[in-house]
Amino acid sequence: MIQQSVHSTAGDEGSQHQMAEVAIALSAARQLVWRANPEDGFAVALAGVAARDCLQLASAVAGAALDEPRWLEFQMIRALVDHGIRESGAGSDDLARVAEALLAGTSHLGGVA
Amino acid sequence: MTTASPLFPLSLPTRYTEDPPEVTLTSEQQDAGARAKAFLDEVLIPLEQSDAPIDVDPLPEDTDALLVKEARARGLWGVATPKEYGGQGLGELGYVVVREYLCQSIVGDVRNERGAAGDPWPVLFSASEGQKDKYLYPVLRGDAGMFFGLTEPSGGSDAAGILTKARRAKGGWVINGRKKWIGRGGQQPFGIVFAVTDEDKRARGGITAFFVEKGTPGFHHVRDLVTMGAARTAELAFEDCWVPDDNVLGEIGGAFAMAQRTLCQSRVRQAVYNLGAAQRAFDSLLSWLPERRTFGKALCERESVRWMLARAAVDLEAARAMIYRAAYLIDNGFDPRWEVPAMKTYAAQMACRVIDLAIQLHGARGISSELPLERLYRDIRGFRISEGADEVQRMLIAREMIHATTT
Repeated sequence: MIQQSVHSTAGDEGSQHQMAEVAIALSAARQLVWRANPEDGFAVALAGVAARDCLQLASAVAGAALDEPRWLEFQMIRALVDHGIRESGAGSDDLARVAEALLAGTSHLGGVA
Repeated sequence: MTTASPLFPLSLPTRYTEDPPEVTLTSEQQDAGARAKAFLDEVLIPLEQSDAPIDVDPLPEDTDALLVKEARARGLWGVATPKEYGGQGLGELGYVVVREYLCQSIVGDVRNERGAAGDPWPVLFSASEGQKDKYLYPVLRGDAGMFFGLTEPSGGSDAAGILTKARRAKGGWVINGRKKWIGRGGQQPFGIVFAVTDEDKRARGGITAFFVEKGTPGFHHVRDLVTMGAARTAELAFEDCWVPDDNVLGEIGGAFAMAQRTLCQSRVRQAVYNLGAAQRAFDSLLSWLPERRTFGKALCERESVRWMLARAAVDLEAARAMIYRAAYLIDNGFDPRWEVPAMKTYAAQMACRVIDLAIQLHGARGISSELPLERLYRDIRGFRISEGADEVQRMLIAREMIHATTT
């Protein structure tokens, strides 16, 4: 939605940069979501945090980039996602889960060796 | 051509005609990673803790020689260089896997040609056979380094707007202009200098690359430039500097595209430096939090601190995944037009965030030379600017997104 909107105002450099920021955040989150094994709670928690951060950024950018009807549509989508997060009990628990696993040494970041 | 991915229909748009494969490491790449970790633990970290003067660029000759010898002995020389050139042939992904460890040390890599590297600027592989004998092979052997002369006093990110010019002269070309912020430009025995050869065409066939050797009449090392990190950069001047036709690298007028291809790879190589440095800072933080107590509690018991740690972990892993994917796309012949700018921007900003957090939570120790954190920060901060500033990368990303929407 942001991409389509920015395309219609392609001369607006500020909007283009904001769209790029969302694309970067989306790319980062997608990488973590793609490679998260659903049975690996640590990886899922990492992906969850990144995905919510991306959604939050997109929401902020949408406020400026989208016209009223599309902004409302976006907010409805976001409300559904937020509801799902609350229902699943994930939310900020993911942050606690990540920190606990790292400090306890039961999970580690990256590396092949 | 823009296509929607059949496998990932919600992906951001690309120009690919087929879906890229999933990132997988070969056993050789994994083995190289294990060797790199051993090199880090057994050589680089002890060197940091010794009395050797390491906060200088270039490193002292004996230290540099030690790193080269050890890297060769451990099969970490020329990791990305194809086997037919005597390298390890592990591609950009192999390079990333190895450098992720080496760059955790402040002596692991400040410049591409430094001790444990052996992978030349990719542009060198475009050289003719005669040029390879003269320039490429000495670099591969570790006998020489080179500079990459693109950036100018008027700017760097707008590479198509360079002012240095070359005009035909008897048997060769005469170069006039200035280059600035050129890594080790005053020390290397030769370099590649980009100049406008057709003012009307510029980026579309009007920029040519030339080999220029130290000592060539008209080539002056004006001065070294001090920056935050240890890396030494230079300002160079070319005043009626004549070079023979044999010194043209690649096609006349074809250097802009060549530079873009090289920068695509070197941006991945730069990003992995950010990754290594941030991982080192993160590990330092992880071991510090249980140790440090304030107001009767260890830092690791404070929820606000734990959340900061978790966010840094997400940051690091996301950057790692983006860097691995960008390298894998390059190895598999894809042209990652927005993925590399996105990865470069994210990795550079991530490293600043993670290292800054580590400094902050270490308190005064964080800004002291007791720990490598302040040096790591000084070394990586420039990566948000060099080889295309964050803001320029966002322009490139937006351009691809808009292109995809219009085709």
